[in-house]
Amino acid sequence: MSDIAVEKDEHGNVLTDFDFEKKDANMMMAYIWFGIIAIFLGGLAGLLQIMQRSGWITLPNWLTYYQLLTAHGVLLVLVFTTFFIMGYLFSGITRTLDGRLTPSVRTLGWIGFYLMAIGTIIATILILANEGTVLYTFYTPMQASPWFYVGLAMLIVGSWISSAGMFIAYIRWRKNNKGQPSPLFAYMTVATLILWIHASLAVAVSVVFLIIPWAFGWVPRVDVTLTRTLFWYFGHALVYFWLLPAYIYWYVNIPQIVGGKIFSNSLPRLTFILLILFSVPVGLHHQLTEPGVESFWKFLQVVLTMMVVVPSLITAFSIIATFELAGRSRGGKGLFGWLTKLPWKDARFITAFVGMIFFIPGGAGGIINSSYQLNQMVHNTWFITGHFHITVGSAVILTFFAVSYWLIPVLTKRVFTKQLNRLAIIQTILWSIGMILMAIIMHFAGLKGAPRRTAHSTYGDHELALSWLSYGQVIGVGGVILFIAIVLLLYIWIKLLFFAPKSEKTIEYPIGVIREKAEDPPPILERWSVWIGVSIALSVIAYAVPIYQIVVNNDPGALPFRSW
Amino acid sequence: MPKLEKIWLAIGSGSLVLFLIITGVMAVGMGLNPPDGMQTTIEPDKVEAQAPFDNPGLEQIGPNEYKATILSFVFGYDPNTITVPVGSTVHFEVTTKDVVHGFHIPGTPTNLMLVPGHVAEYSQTFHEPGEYLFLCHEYCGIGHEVMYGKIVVEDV
Amino acid sequence: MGKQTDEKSSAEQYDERLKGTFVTVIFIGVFIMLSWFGIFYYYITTF
Repeated sequence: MSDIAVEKDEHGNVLTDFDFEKKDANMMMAYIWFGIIAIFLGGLAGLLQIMQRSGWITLPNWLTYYQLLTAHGVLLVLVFTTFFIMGYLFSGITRTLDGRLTPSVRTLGWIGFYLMAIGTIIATILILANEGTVLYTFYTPMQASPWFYVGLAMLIVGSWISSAGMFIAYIRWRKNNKGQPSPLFAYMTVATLILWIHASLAVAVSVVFLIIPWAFGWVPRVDVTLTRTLFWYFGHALVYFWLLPAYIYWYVNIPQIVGGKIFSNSLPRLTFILLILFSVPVGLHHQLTEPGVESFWKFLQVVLTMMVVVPSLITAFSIIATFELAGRSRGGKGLFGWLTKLPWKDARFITAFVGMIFFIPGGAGGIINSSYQLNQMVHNTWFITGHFHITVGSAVILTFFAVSYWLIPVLTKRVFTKQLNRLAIIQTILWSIGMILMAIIMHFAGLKGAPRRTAHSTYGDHELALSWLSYGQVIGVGGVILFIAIVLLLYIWIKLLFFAPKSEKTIEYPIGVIREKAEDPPPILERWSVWIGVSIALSVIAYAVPIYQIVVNNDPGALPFRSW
Repeated sequence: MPKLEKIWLAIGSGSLVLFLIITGVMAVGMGLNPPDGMQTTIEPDKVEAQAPFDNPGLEQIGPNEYKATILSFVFGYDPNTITVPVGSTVHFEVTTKDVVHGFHIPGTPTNLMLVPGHVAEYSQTFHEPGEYLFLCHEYCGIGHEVMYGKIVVEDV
Repeated sequence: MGKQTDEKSSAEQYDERLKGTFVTVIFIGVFIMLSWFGIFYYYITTF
């Protein structure tokens, strides 16, 4: 039982209450705070955008649909996620390793935070000034202000510095606890950050060496396919960078909340290793319908994409098994009697649980998207928008909401009251209704051909396009409900930050306990150099030839355009 | 690992393999691949100076077989209306002279990304008469949503 | 009893308690299959 010191209350239940040191808590709060602002602004942009697309409002001429779309994407999937994830991972690293951060780690945390924050502010100002209306994928040769790319680069570099802080904390712990397997949370954090750094190196190369010199006018042309390919080398792993912290919550924190134990100390680690290995060499499945890449390499990456589904199959079983074992140990009988024993009235559980439900159609959709020819039926349609709104926009983000309902209280030492808990459950219900009306319906509209990333249009009153608009009415209602859910969320968060009653006792930071009989993980799982090596090797196999061909069959390069 | 979990993983992985076999057989055995095209062009901004994009349009290349050479730009296509008889197979070759565009005929697998410097190729047979919309499905600028055209498939 | 055999017997014992999990994941698997073949059917009817 290396994981945590086990204390028990008078009923024999394990206690995992925790207090952070003030200085550590401040640093983590900074990340959470920034995330809260990002989610509100990003959500507001989303609301205006969907109302425009549904044909309900006309935007003023100083604010375009595509500006809103850029802000929505950048603030939610690049900014909110990265800030929240860094805050959450820092908290878990602190909680499960030494209980406190060393001054140098904390300093790295702050430097990372400030770089990310300044980068975000620069990028956001440029989006509002209509100087960066290139969406969060910033495909060349549409050319934003060079400072927009500098801002994004700062966001990424900042996250590397925060990651470095966590690596140092982890290495220090390993040195002081030789021969012991690291706590599961810390292990998974290291895996997540290795994946993040590997993937984001590619986009950093693209931004720093290809796009920024071109955006400043130092070189006249840019290789469009190369920048796209480097973006998607990063882009698919990016979605796993969002998902892995949610998996951490499901594997490590939730067992404690449902009153269960972590079944195995090895399998979750193996899952994360598989995710490191197969999240990167699959990016071409985002480029299946484009010229310049040979079909053979596209298909090879489709095969690898199916491999990355396997750890999620393992996860599905493990998580449900945790619930069933917990429910049965509390007296649940029969095939599904255990379900009734789960803490349905606890927002920390049900919010994440609903997220898990959304991940089922999310996973099914993901397999469809990457199934080679089937991609032709859905590529760049609303199906894709629907897909990532139920994956990152529901499965992941609902999990993060669940995290916030105990992490903010631990950091602010305020109580997540019964009333707030009830509001949080209502928030989850609103979010679910909103996403069903918006994201699920988007799947169907997308199958009928409705394009993603497109302002209101009737396409010359074409019959088909008009049918998309009727779907759009339902989707618009879903969007409005989601915004109401965001306002409610903001109310809960502000209460937790400033107004909820101060707690006399320490507050629970739920960390699951590993089943006593579980074996220690084999040491090979913690030999990171091996896995980093295999991960790089797989990426080389998948990408070396396509990138070589892109560079050698050099397309002539494209001049910059500002078409917005 | 519990035995039931092993069974589940076998079933799950088996399904994934099945998906791969189906897509793989269609790709290798039937030649059904998503659009590709390894042909590059001259500088995209000069692409109108050279064949075939100096003279885009529809050309009959066989019985019921056509080649459609289409140039895309902000915010439209040249040509933006194509008329073919029902049952025709149209070989599309499409490029862009400025930013990245898309070429999608909703309800069909004709779903192409148009990347500057490259020619996207795909063949589509139109079995049903009607007016097919094609549209740009990659954000390309402020007029993105008005970038479309149509394929008229005539009943003969 | 050694840890190995302990682990083994507990795994067997857990199988009995994981039936609900198994049924649930099979439902998930069936859902994935149906979705996939639905879109597959859509694809083959269009070319």
